[in-house]
Amino acid sequence: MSNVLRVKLPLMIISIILVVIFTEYFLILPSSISNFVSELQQWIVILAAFAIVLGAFNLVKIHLPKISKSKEISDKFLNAWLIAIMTITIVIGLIYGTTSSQYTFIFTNLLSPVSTAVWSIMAFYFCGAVLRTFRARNLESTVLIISTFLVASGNAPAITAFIPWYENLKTWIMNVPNVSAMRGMIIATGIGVLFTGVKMLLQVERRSTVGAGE
Amino acid sequence: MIQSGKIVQTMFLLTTIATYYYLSWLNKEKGFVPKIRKIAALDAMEEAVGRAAEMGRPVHVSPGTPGAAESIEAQTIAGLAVTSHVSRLCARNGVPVIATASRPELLPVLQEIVKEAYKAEGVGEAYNDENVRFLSDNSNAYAGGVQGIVEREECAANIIVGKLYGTANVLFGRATVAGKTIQIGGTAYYLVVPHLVVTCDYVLMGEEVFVAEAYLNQDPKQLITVFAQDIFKIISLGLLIIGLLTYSMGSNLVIDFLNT
Amino acid sequence: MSNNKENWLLRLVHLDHRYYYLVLIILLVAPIIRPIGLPILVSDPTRDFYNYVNNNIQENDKILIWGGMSVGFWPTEYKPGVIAAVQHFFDKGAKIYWISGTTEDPVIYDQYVIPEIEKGSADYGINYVNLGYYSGGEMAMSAFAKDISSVVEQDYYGTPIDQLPMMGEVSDANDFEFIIHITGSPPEWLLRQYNSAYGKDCGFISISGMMGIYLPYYASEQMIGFINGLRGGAEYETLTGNPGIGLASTDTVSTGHIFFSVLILLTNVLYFIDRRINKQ
Repeated sequence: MSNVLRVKLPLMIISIILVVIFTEYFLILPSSISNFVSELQQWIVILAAFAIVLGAFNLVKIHLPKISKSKEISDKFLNAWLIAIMTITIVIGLIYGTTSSQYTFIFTNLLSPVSTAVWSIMAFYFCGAVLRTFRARNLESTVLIISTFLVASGNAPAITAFIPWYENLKTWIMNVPNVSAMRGMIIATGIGVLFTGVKMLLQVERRSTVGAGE
Repeated sequence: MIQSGKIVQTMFLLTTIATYYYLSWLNKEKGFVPKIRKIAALDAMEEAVGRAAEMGRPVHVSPGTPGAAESIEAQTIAGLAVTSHVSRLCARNGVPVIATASRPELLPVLQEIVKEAYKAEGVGEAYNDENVRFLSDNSNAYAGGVQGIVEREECAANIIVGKLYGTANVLFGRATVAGKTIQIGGTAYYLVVPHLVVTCDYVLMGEEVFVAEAYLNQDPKQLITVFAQDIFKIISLGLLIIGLLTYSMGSNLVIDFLNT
Repeated sequence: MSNNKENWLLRLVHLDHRYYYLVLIILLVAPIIRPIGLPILVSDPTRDFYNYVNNNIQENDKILIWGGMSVGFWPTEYKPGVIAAVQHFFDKGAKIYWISGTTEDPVIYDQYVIPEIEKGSADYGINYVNLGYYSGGEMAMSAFAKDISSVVEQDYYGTPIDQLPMMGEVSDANDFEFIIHITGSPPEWLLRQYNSAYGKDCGFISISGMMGIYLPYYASEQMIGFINGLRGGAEYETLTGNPGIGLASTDTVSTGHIFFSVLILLTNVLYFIDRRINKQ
């Protein structure tokens, strides 16, 4: 594919659309431009929905060959299970609809408990992480540990119900040092995001359209 | 012409563009190239890939877990830059790279980036399509998938830079406990940074994520934008201090100015 | 240090982590089997959210809820706050427009939220509606805020919106009195698209870990208030006088937090013991 089609054309499209969106946001323009921007927003909603289909195809492409190529029986089974569950859910959703009892059965009896279990495991990971890494090696980690201890214990209703000033201490830590630090990071991140947009507008940022060689 | 309440915002945007062009002119005419301080997490990537080469184990890399319609947003773009850099290092050292995407629309971008990295290092034929995978757009399922890859394929390094949400603990946690993998995490999402500090060996915090591409490529255009970013951080800090002082004296001068 | 004591301490320092996991499981499960019923203090963000709804929301006021839940967080993080808040909205006689930003959210609303609510004389299509999932994140929020009919043509059940009487009463963000986002994400999307752009009052129902990120926006009054995870849900249940799963689980919150606090202390005590033994 020529360089113009592969690199220059996508960058030009990005720049033009960014200019249109920026000017529509800041300037008073004819309604035709506002309507065009609204149209663009709807295209994004549609594109995001199509991306889900792309993801499903990729899952099949990766996992289907593994059913025959894997040496372990458990690997074969898990890959086949993934494809089977995905296919069954898609077929049921298409045939019966997502509001049907069959679809909601899969949701409430498969997805819901599995998702909840995966999230629940995080408690143990956090426990392991605390045991391995929460050590007062230097001043910064000591401050981190003390504030973590105060906020974690301050979040326990059992303690704050009997020691009300403990809640005030926790609230002070959250409202004063935490908010100040967060605000600093929010401002810095906001400026970083602004400059990423400006870089895309000026075609300095090309990562999304070209690869490592350019 | 300019909508009411957005005049200062428009001026701010135009000033950022003007600042960039001025610094570009300085670079062209006077050879001005700003320097960035050492960032340990970015330097550690080469060390991590070197370790992987010695051990003969792969490296896992990911541009984070953006939400819906966040696939091409600032942190994800930074994550893609890191993915590109790590892919090039891996291609150069003969280390297999496993790149995973948590959004389906990111997958073709990731494939292109990794393929181009291999081509740029002259080993295009070593690129394996199966090593660039979409796992799931459900954050818990994606985190489980990454855990599985890091453990099953015995990755020597786990590098995830980009937008990360609450599953950062799960993405890095198991490998932290096992202790066999170098982990480098980075995000500008402030709430997740403490999770990374606890679980990762090296962390990119906040705006270090946005600087990653400039730091790794040492491209003057990118370095100039970093310098311009810092100028505007100083301006914001100045406005903050002036606003704090004027507000303490009972005046809404800065607030009214910013709302013009 | 004597050899016996040193051996004992070394064993403690290098104790298998699974013993800690076992203690954690016991501490989390025991209060569910045998509740203690400890009181709970209500935090300011929850109180402000409640007071706003109580004092400002009248009958037939329109509340837009952007749902961004994932089902894994439903039982422990979202359920107490969402059920308590949505019940409060129904009790006030408000009209609820629920639109989803994640694929799981419309099913959660349909299967887990609505069946738990006492709706009284509220009817679907007249007092509450489930508009379904719309991809695009902040873009979808922005498009919806500008012109609802450009994004939504039918509800979650496939009914065209012109057949739903309450949809005829809204055309853009200006028609809503209160906008809520139920999410584990940062609040910027909703605040940018509804608070900054349209000046609308915004509230949030979030997961526990988000408190740090919501506080700056709450402190600067960009949001009315927020209900923060399980504890926030329990606080809201206390305020509305409808005890539910949140209040029943506060003992578990207590034991869990106390466990982690003690674990942090213990880790450092063992670390210093280990260092001392190694020096010797």
